[in-house]
Amino acid sequence: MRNVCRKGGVLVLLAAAALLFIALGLAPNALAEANDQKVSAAESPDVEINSVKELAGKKIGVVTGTVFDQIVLEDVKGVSKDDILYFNSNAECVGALQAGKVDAFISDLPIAQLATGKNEGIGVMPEKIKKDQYGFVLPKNSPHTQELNERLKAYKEDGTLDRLKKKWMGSDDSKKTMPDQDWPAPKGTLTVAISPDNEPVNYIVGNRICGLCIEILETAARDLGYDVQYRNTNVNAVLAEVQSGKSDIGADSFSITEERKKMMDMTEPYYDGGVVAVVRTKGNGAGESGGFFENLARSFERTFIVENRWQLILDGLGVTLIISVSSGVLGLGLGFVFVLLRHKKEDGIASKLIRLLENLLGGLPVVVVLMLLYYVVFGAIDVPGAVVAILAFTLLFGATCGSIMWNAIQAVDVGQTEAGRALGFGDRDTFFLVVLPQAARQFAPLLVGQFVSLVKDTSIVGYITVQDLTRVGDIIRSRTMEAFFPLIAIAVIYFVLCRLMAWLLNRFAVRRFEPKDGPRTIKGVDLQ
Amino acid sequence: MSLIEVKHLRKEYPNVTPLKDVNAKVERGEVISIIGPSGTGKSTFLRCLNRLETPTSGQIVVDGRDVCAPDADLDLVRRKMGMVFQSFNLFEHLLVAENIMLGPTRLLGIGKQEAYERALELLKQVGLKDKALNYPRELSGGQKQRVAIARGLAMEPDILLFDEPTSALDPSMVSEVLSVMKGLASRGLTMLVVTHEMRFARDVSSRVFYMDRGEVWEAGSPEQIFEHPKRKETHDFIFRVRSWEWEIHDVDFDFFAMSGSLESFCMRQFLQDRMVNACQLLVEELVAQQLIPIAERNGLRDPNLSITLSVAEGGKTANIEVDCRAYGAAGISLEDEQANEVSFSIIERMAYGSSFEDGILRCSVGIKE
Repeated sequence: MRNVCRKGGVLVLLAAAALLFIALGLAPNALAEANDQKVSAAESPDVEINSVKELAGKKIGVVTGTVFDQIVLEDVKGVSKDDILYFNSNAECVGALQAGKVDAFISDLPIAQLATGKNEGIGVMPEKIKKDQYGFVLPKNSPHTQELNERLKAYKEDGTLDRLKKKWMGSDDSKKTMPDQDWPAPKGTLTVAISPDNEPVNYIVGNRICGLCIEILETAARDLGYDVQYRNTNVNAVLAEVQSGKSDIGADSFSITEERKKMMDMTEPYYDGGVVAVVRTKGNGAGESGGFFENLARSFERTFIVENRWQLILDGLGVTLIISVSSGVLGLGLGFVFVLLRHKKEDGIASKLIRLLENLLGGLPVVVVLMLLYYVVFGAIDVPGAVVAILAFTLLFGATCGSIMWNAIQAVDVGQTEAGRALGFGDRDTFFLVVLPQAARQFAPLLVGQFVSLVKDTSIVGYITVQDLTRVGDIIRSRTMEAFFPLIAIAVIYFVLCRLMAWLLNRFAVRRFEPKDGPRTIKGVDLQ
Repeated sequence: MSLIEVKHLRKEYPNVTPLKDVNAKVERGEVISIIGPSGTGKSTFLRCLNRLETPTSGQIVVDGRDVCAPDADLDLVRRKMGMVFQSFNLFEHLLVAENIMLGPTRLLGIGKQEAYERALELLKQVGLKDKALNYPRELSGGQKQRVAIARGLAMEPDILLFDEPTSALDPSMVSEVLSVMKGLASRGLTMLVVTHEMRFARDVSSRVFYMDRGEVWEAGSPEQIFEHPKRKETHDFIFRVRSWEWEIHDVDFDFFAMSGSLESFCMRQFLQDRMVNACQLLVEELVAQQLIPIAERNGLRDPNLSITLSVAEGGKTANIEVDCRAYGAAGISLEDEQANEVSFSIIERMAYGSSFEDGILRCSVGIKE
């Protein structure tokens, strides 16, 4: 097993993923006959809509942030802006198509094929809307661009590309295995940024990264004498990884565009794909076939059982737990240090800096803080994403906790401090024996709420290559092409996790600060 | 040597100087009541003694120690000088017994069990032994203040400072706190009490400080301060705290507000119930049954009545003065009007020594032993 960085899975909310798709113009790879304007008949059963012309006046779905809406407006006559509906993922497009909310949705060919293969009642429209080519991305003026291009040309001529395309686009999943990475690597290691949620170009089975572009890349690496290491991130982060030089190569179905070539190196195409429409097949109106429970059982199997996906979910849950609990404990400690520093000198430099930090962090989206830390602050150093995530959430949670605790402490009547001092307690004793316990009664329940929020907030760590529960859900959705079930499954897991955490904390922590109920006792005293 | 010696104590804030030049001596075992108008630095003075406030200048020597010295061990000073606050300041997160045990266990090194037993003993002294396991919020104001006193006593201080201990209490709870304080005074504890309770100041304290203008304006025995004040300000203050004033500028005045105000004044003076009733009855009769109807009958919209009731020493008699010159100015002859009134005889029956001169009605009310 090669070093597939599972820890660095990307977790992106589906919506966010879609936005990223759009922003970066990453087109999911289309697998179609090169230079052929038609999809083969086998891939297109008897569908309701057969040509681009027939799309006129129809309702068309696209994923938010892709370039497909522009392509439709330019290349399909009779479609206006009002006819286009935006969805957050391909899985949702499938759902909308099946439910009759749209008459077609636009996608790259490979995704389209995958979606039609795994869902009832839909097929690929035979006529392509647009052709497209995919290549690898490298940092501008990378030393590897030239040698990679030479290999790609050679593979095209000797038929390697065709052979691999048949293998990965074929229907026989048993053939889709990767050779072991066991060749000598005298020239060192290539770091490759990937987002393995793009079957069949680039995806993950068990722990092994595989797919068309992966095998092409590994073949080239072998022939050139390199070892390959993957950095598993999300789609938009792949380009950031490459541009920042953290990775040598970005491998995914990146459309070759002039604009992109200005920003970075793009290789020769390894695949000619295209933009296609997915439509309903004839005789299949809205609604899935099969009974409700039958569908549910099938969805359950696909989400949890197939390819041991439950293991993936457990791992993701573990990552979510580790990040939340570590950040929770460290952040609480940090917040308390903030409080002590502020208490020591309320108008001192430290207090001002802490207030500044609280305001700063409070005014930034969590995901921005996370990405700034990962790509800017630690841009030059190779720190695992999970560590950066813990650091970021510790800072954020610390600032929030600190400010909540401080406000609660300020709210304790000054008379309490005076009474403590008047009895002869010093500043420290007064703070710890009198003020803090009373403030804790106010802030403890709030901190529990904040911690639950923290657990939920960690669902964005996918942005920096961490494969947590949400990211796992995305990966599974990208494989099953199901709109709802994996999402609901993940939602249920989060809900149970959050309620459990809140219950535990309330039961064992918050209660300590609350007035004694039941028979009253004093520790260390025999009341008789 | 005096237990407390204060010389030229001055305390300035950016906008105000509550203490200008305070000089005082307190001997061991004395009970000092500190009285005076609001805002004259009584509480600030007390809070300087245990250094909750830092004096701007001056010297405070407590039991031979200069508490204003930079190296003074304030925590030690405070352990010997307990304080009872206006707003009780009990530790809300601790049980009553724990409130009292906190200082002894943490500061005096007394074991928990022993501290608890002593707490029970102190609670018994203030009559609250059965509240040991209650939270402060479960107690009434008077009970809270008694617990606060027990908490102060638990540190076995030489001195106990009281900062308006009854000001935040309902009138009905004032006396339970005052009787506890009275008991302490009789046991020889040195006490300094900032108070508006003139009965307490007069009956319990060994000396009274009248504070005004940022100084101890006059100090002396209760008899001197209350009966024969030497300075004009002291005299005026003593008279003022013994009087109640009310003005009426409309025939449709708020009768209940007046009545309530008079009643709470009487409570503060610790008048006997019969005396309270007599005062209320007389004032209400005079105003509501006599003067206001006369004004109404004569179309006098603003009767411009000013009523003053002052309690004489001993609380057995009170003098009432009603300024009704507006009637005369409006051409109404009260003598004629009253002569027609049957109920005027009620006043004559209840009050004695009534007179009417130059538009001012004067009478006295009292109870016989």
